[in-house]
Amino acid sequence: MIRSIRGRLQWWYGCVYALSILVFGCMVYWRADRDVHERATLQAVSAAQYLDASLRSLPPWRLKDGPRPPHLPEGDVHSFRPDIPNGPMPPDFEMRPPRGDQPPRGDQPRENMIRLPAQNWDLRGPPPHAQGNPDNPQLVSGRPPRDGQPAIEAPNFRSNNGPTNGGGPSNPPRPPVDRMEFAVWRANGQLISKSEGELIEPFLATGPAAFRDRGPRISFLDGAVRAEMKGPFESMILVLRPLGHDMANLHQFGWQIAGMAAVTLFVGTAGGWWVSGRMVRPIQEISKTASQISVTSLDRRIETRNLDAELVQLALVLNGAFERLEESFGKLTQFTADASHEIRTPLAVIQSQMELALSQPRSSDEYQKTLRTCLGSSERMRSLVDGLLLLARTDAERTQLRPALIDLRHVAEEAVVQLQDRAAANGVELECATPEDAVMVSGDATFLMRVPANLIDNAIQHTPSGGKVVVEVRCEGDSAVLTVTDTGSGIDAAHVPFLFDRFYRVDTARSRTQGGSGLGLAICRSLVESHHGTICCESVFGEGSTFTVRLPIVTESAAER
Amino acid sequence: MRILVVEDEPDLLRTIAQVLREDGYAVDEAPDGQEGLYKATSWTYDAIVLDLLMPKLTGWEVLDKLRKTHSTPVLILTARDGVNDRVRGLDGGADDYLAKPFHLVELKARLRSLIRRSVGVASSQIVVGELVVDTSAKTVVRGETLILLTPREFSLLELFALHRGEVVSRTQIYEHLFEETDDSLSNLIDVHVSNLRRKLGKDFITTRRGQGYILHEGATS
Repeated sequence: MIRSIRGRLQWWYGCVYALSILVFGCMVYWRADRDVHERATLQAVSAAQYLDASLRSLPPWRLKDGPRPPHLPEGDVHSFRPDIPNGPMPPDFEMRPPRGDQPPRGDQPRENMIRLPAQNWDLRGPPPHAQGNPDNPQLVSGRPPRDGQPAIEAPNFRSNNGPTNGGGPSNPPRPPVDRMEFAVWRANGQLISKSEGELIEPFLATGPAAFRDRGPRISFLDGAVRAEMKGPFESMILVLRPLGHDMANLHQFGWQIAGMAAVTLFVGTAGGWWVSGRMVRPIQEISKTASQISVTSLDRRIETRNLDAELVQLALVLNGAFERLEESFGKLTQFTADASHEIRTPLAVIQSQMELALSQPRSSDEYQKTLRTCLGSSERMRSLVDGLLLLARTDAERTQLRPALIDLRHVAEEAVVQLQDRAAANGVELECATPEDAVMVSGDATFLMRVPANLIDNAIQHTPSGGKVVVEVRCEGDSAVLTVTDTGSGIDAAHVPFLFDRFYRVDTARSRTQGGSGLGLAICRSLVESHHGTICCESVFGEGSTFTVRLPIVTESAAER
Repeated sequence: MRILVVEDEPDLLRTIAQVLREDGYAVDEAPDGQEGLYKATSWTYDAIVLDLLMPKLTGWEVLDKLRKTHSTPVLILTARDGVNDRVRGLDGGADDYLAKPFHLVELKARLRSLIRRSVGVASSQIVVGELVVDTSAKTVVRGETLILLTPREFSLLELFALHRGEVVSRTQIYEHLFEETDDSLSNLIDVHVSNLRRKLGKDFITTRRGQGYILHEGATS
């Protein structure tokens, strides 16, 4: 399958386009074909009617068997039936002898035979000799047409004289047209008249077909239209309208349509390819920019100024992703730098202490001092590494805690007991307030224990001698709440949002000896969040801080389940 | 030679100070950036060892403020070893950059090189007439004879040698040889100078009354 949007677009577009061109071409061709047949039918019918009208103007005895009635004049066509029902006759329409080499002589018709018409009639216009008389076009048909009744034009019969232009040499040559052929029989099957031509020959042999109604009846032959009707006195009229030239023209037209369709399809598809290329280009540019954004150029963004609305959306989404990536990458870099700083500093102490001690012989007191310093530094590194490992573990194994039902009161009390000595050493009063009822939460006791321990440790550190740290456990609706409140220095509001970030130090004035690893609160947050709880801090600068931990409470009914 | 160490890690500060003192330097200590900046602008130091991440004022801020008035050589000693940090430190006016953890010998060598270059001497061996003062090995050799000097005496000779041909005032000697905690008795310098004269030769150091002392370029004993 085609895997590119542009290719697929092109494929579907091309298919739809080709299909519509095909349908359109077929419709045009079908319509043209119908036109050809309709016109041919009309022409055949009108030719038959013309013949009919012509026959009606003949003396009836010519259409019947038997001699001419003696009282009738011979050959006076118009005096016999002056009003021809279907309109005027061409002026030179005459009865002629069967072999029309002679000049028109109406007074010498052959017995029992009529010759129709002598001239080359064309349905597309007046007869050629009429064109030379533009001043009086009415003369074309000899008589003015009756009101409301269309004039019957002389059909284009195949004449004995062959195609002649009949006019001056200035007339342009006419395109080849199909000439109609005809035959007229008396009711008894005797042939009265016929045209030249090959098509009519087989019908001459068979004679008039059995024909009941007056017609006209149309039938389509291979390459011709056949019109039959009954003339006056049950005479039979047969007109054949050949389709040879028309069909050739139609086929030519068909090829022209096909050629044009091919050209249009090609131009359209090429245009479509170009347009789709233009549409796809911004996407390619976006992907190019996006692929160029790497670790070293995370601050680059996709230009959205000249993009279309849909692509702006895409670009904004990508830019948002890059922004978050940059932010987390920056945090990671910061964390790595901080972590390396925190590890390198005690390492530097140890290394320089060792070097110093080894640079010359020292007293045992000095060696002891060196070793104590080194021990302190390695203690610090150990607690730091412990903290980092714990963080990494809670990050990685957030779902692998082994939760059990624990009473939050016990957790808090245990932490208070552990830190009581440290509080006393700092001259800080440490109190614990717990409710009478158990406050059950689900959690891993060893991990959860570190939360109040860290918070209390922090509080003691920031509370001057004589201050007070209160640990309280209570229920608030669906959550178990643990608060650690101190009367210490408090935290500037500007620092509160970053308190729980790793290695974030609020008080830069605080010497590093006093401070911990800078991970305590980060560990607290990580642990609380892994227990589906929240931790927050409220502080008034100079008056003290309150750290609040909320954990989802486990009711007894839920615990039984 | 007097050096200021600004470092917020107390153990490290103590260690570095002790090492440098054992090497004959006069060392002042500052536990944070603010005090470091105060001392750096109050006294004349031959070099400053500066940490970057410190309370109150960071090393970059100290450097920035110091460079407005002083051109004392500064060696940045920090745990931040990223290329960006090094570039930022050096461009901010530091003369050298050393990442923790470090070797004390490297720190000492870098400080010697800083002090040497700040007075326009390229080699660690300063030749004054027949005398060769090796600032790195802390030795003084005349011809092939090694002359034994106390650290204080060597520092004094080093100071004279670095500024040979110039008058070195008593104030200058005080500032470069004694730390802030030393009791600076006025005749202490005279004692050291006379000891030097005794060991190196009487005319080696000339006294300029009311101005100070001078070590002549081509001085002979």
